[in-house]
Amino acid sequence: MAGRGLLVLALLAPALLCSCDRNPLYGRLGADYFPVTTLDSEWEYSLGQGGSLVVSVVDQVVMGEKTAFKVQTGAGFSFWTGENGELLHYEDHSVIFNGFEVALYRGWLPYLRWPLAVGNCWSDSVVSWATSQEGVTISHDWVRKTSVLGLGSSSGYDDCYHVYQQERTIDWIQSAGFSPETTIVNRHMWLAPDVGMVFKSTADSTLTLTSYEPGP
Amino acid sequence: MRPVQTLLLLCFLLLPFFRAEAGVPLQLELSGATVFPVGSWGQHLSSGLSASLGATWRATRSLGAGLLLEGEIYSSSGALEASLTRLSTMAQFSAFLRPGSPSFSPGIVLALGITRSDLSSGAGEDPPTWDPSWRAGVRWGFSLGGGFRCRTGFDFGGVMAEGADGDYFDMRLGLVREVSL
Repeated sequence: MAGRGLLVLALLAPALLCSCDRNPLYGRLGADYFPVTTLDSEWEYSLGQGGSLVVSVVDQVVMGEKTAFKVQTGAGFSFWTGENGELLHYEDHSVIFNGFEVALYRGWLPYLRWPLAVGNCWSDSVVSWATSQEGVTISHDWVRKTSVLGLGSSSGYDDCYHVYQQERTIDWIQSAGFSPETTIVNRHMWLAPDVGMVFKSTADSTLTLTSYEPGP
Repeated sequence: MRPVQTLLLLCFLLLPFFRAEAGVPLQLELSGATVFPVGSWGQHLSSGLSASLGATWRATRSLGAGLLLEGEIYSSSGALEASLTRLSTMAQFSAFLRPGSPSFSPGIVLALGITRSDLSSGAGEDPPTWDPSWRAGVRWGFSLGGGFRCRTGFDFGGVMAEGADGDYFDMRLGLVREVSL
């Protein structure tokens, strides 16, 4: 009899010893951390410098040979789609040279890779060049490094992934008087399950989610 | 080779050396399964593989209770190299009709236990989680001769995790050795 009691105790011991820390792994696996692929979803952010910004999924279009979702952010537009476990963003890299826009790269690149996990990191890059109307060659070297720094709460949402991105761009107008110009953008984002970005900070702006209405 | 794989292989190799003798009737089972995630938690994962090792004490010729150690692995279905591994310790209960039948012994199994789930993605790894788990299934058993039996069937099970469950369906094939200790 005592042996059976010990057996039951041995079976229950792992359950009793389980950590009580909140860690909904399966909830995170099943969630969409960047739900920009649902029409009519709308996010409203308060800006650190005052005012607000509305982001909404306004249309579904064909872009770069893929069916994409058109997202309006203030007066600007961006294009997103999901494919093969990745969230793809349509990158439109161009420079203004002598009053004309010169396209350096236009195409789809991964923005986030699923599933997210703490400590994961990857980088995507583009090396291209273009020739202006005057025959001047402009080279473009672009790298985006993405790291998942942690898990936590932000702006009132739990189970958020803290994602850090650094985009480094080197554009070089290969003509007399020009030297390579390097731009670095650091971006910290907190992504909440089935909500998306709830907080973002860059060197010149801070966005905090104030409301979210998922599309039908 | 990982420790769990090594242990399973050793147990498989030792199975033929157990001899049937008078004593406590036991069934040692080594099984493998193809596992399919059920629900949105599998959206970025493909079907998985499972291996388990169990020992069942036969209370009667039809009823049994025992312990089970199971490992599962699911890999990523996308571009990123990711995997979810689960290690479970379970108490298993089984009931079979026509036990010992050479060709047809249907039965049911029910297992309850605890599962450790571990997600790795690229160079990253989420904190592992320990959750209660269960499994229920049906089996068809038949004799292979020489004291060995085969059991095939399917299960539905789940990891009762916080926020969302990690349910699954599996198709299982097992090798059973009946022994007495």
